[in-house]
Amino acid sequence: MPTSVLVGTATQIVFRDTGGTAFTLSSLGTLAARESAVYDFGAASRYPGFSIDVATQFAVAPVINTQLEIYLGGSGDETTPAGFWGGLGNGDTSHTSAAGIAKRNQLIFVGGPIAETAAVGPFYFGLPFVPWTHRRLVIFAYNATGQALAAVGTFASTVRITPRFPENQ
Amino acid sequence: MHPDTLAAVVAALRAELAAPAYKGLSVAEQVAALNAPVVVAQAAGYRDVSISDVRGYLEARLVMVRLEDWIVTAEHGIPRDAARTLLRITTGTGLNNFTTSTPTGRANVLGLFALLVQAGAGGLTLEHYSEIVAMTLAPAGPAVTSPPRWALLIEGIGGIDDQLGPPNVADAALVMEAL
Repeated sequence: MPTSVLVGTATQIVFRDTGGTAFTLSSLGTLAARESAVYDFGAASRYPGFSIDVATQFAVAPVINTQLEIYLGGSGDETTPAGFWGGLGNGDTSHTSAAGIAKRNQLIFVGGPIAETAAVGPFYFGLPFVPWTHRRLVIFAYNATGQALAAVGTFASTVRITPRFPENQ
Repeated sequence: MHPDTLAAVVAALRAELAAPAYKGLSVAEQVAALNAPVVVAQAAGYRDVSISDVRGYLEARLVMVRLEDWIVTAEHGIPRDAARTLLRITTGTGLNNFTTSTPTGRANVLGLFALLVQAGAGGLTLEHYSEIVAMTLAPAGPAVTSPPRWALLIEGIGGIDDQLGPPNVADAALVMEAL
């Protein structure tokens, strides 16, 4: 019998206001965007990809079917944290200008929680596997819902990624 | 928040709070002003008017048929030529709109009607003129909501390394720091 190659998982990486890679989603305003701090997978520990899960809640129930859009940005520079797509890599930063929000056009759109009912949430979104081989990662969230996200004291909006890799088991 | 990030935020906040709009406000009122979306009302403007709409209006008021009769009996001169021009424009097929959205076009078109009103051509009155002018007015658009001043103030101020950047909304502690 050949040995099965199954999917192994590494430690989950969390992006949020406290207790993870810095990403201030607390009270993120309508039509505003936020980029996270840079996460560095390290020089020699790259995975073929990761799963992604997003949880959020709003301060006021948004219009049904509007979305908190989640994008991924990276850097092709392997040695120094530079050359980020869309000019990201500034650390945990707010964007509301047209130019700032337009950065998302150069990023990878992966989806995001949709307010599918007339409620504040929480709403969830996930993808089982996102191919990713760049060393550094920045999460970019654009709030296209018309309502601000909940304050962190009410609900800590969070993006979680879990590296996944083939493993002989 | 990293001290360098805090210093950048406080400097930007200090510059913002120096504006006259914040004078005499309490800290809580300043925080509310910083976090309030900026709503800008859209002014009314002018628009082009469909020639067929104007013709329909004049036909309904019996001006068109009277204008045809008036031309037959009117003396030669500018008012008669203006009336003939109006008939040619409104019954022809080459033009679709009166260009009343531009200052020059507006002056030309409304000037033509004003001349005919002055000459009493076809029973055209000031009331008719006013209603044609009303047709050229575009209603004010919906008010445009822009991000709050706070959002503009922290644009591009990032967190250092893996520390948090500025919060998405202003708070009293930051305002106190800047005062």
